[in-house]
Amino acid sequence: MFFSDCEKIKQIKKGFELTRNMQISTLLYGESNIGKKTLVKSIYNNATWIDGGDFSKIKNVLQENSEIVIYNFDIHRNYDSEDFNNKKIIAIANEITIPDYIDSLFGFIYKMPPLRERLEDLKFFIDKYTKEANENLSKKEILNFDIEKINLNDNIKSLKIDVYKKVAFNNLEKNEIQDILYDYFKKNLQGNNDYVKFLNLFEYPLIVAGLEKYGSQLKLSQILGINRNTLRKKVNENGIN
Amino acid sequence: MKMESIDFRNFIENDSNPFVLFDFGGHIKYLNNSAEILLGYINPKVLYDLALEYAPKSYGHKNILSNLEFDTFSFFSIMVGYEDDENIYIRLYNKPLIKQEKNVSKEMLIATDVNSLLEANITLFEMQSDTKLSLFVDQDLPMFKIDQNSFSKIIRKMLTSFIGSQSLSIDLKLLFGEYLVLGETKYQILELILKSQKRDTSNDDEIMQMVQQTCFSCQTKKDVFKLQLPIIL
Repeated sequence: MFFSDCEKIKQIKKGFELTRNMQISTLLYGESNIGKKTLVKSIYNNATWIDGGDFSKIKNVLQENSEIVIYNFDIHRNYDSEDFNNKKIIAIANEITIPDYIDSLFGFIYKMPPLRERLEDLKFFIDKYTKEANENLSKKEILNFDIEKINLNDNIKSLKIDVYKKVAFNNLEKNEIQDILYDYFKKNLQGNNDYVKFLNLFEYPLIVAGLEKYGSQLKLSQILGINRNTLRKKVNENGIN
Repeated sequence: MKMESIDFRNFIENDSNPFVLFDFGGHIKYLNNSAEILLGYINPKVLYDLALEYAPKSYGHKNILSNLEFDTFSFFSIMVGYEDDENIYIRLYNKPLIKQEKNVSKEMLIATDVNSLLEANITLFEMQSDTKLSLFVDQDLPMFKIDQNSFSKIIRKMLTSFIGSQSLSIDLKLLFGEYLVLGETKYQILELILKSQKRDTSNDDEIMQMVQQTCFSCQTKKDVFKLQLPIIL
């Protein structure tokens, strides 16, 4: 199922639907993992789908079919423009700049915006992957996400990883945290000053979370039961603002 | 040969170059067929003012080389003359048209609802520009055959040149009484006019090349595109 509340994507979908029964070649491009394939699949599921990386097969497919979706479309190849006439061709590419030659090949060229430019879609994906992660990991977590902290560098893919991590790591038992640290230390202990080095693993999240929760170093030093000068020193050592 | 016996008026009447004779007040005393068509598009006063501006200093005739464009009409020269104080005439010489032989391969053409195709193009344009659109289309247009991909490429390129314009008027209408001749056949014309205050003209050559490869014809000006499509049923 394809979903988007983004106005630009609604317009792309409208364009696809208006030309649904026309023999027009269309290019849909944009960053990886933004839902291009899912969008095209929601309209052209019954078309012949072919991987654009398999250039040798494309020629035959173009000659034998009239409705084709080419995913991983390689915009730097030399295509025969005649192959793009009088056919329904939907090409999907990740490139974010399009050469003039490609520009002259397609009737319609749509640029799909990345996830960071359509924040209205975040809630849908967070809910979707939270539900999926809970099912897959047999958990029942209800999470609050700080949207600004979600990694959108790799669009839906990095958002999904963030959601899965959050679901997996939420409400861990003490022994589960110890198990994780056990594996980590076993893998990484190898220096001659590692006690100080790995103390940071414990101190950094403790101080950051404490400061966020209690607001001041004075209050936090009371909560932690340490001298405020000691806390200030540790804040500086751990590079915490 | 007695020249007096020849009625020269018929030659002027049927000349493809517009000819208009004005009286001293700027009223039209005579105009030929070509001028009649031209004056369907421009005010006669424009021609009268032109005649006065370029009139020779004394009785006689004067030829002026100048590129003039009125709507879709283009002229490379005018002649202005008078032999008394009552009448003045102006004659405009058409720019020669380079005739392109276009073969229409109907196999490439597909019956199309041109309004839907235009709407899809406008939708794409609206994604790229905040230009205010005014749209005048004829929803009762018949389905007719066009090369859908080429039409879309041309329209997309044309609309791209209006990105950033404040406003754009899109006018799609049937022309009555005018025809496009392709091969041996005359076709009724559907005209698409895209007009704004100004636009980017850097892609005009490319657009014209694309048009040349189709059975469409196109006129470009600094603020307008006029694309004419034959209604092939």
